[in-house]
Amino acid sequence: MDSLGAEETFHDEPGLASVIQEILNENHVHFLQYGPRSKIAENNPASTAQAIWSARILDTLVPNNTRIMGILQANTELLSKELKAEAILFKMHAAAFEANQYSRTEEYPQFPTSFSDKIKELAK
Amino acid sequence: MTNGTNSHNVSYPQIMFLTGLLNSHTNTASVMRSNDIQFDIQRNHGDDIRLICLNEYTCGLAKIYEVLDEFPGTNLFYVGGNWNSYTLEAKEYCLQSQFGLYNSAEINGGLHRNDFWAYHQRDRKGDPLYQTKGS
Repeated sequence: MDSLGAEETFHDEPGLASVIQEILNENHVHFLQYGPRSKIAENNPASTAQAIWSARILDTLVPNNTRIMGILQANTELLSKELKAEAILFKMHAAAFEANQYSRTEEYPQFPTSFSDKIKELAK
Repeated sequence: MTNGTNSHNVSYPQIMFLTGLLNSHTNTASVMRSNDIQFDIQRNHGDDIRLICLNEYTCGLAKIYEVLDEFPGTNLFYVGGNWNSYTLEAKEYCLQSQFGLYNSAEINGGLHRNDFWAYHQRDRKGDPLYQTKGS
């Protein structure tokens, strides 16, 4: 799985950003629907829908994050200084998010919305 | 702190869910809520419990210390719904100190036991299973 995204090369930053945005959108849909801040989690704390969230983390969110990191790594020469800085924040989050699935850690770096904002801006 | 407001970001639906759970539990004789998130529980069998209702995605030792300082006499920490959990360090500290530390998947089992701090689920091999992994 470590090689996900590593063979995806692009000609420019907007093209790269468009693909990353699609991946982030998929993750966001799952987060909104079944994540810890979802309406389900708020209204029914004991819901077994938590198991759906756990499954999506393993089969979708973590692989998607790995793919994004692969794309960023394989196309590093295309990245602006600003996007490189945001990419570091994303990588920190993605690595900690995956590690948190094996052992809970307090205050691991949350998803950097500044990264998704930058991607959205570039994908236009 | 009166009922209706708390400084721990515990929402009303979370408090109401726990209130319903405690009031319907077969081993609770009486439940008194105060300070919005404090529940003093008399049980049919077993010692009284002072439970603090939290909403912690991952409850660590620092939070345990903070609550103990703010709510003296606390002996059970409820961290919230199935999405929420705790660190291994916090669980080990609570087990050693005979404090319950549970999320919504575990709290019912803890309330049944005389050693209310020691409840745990089991994995397929029969070993203790604590909620220290992610979700």
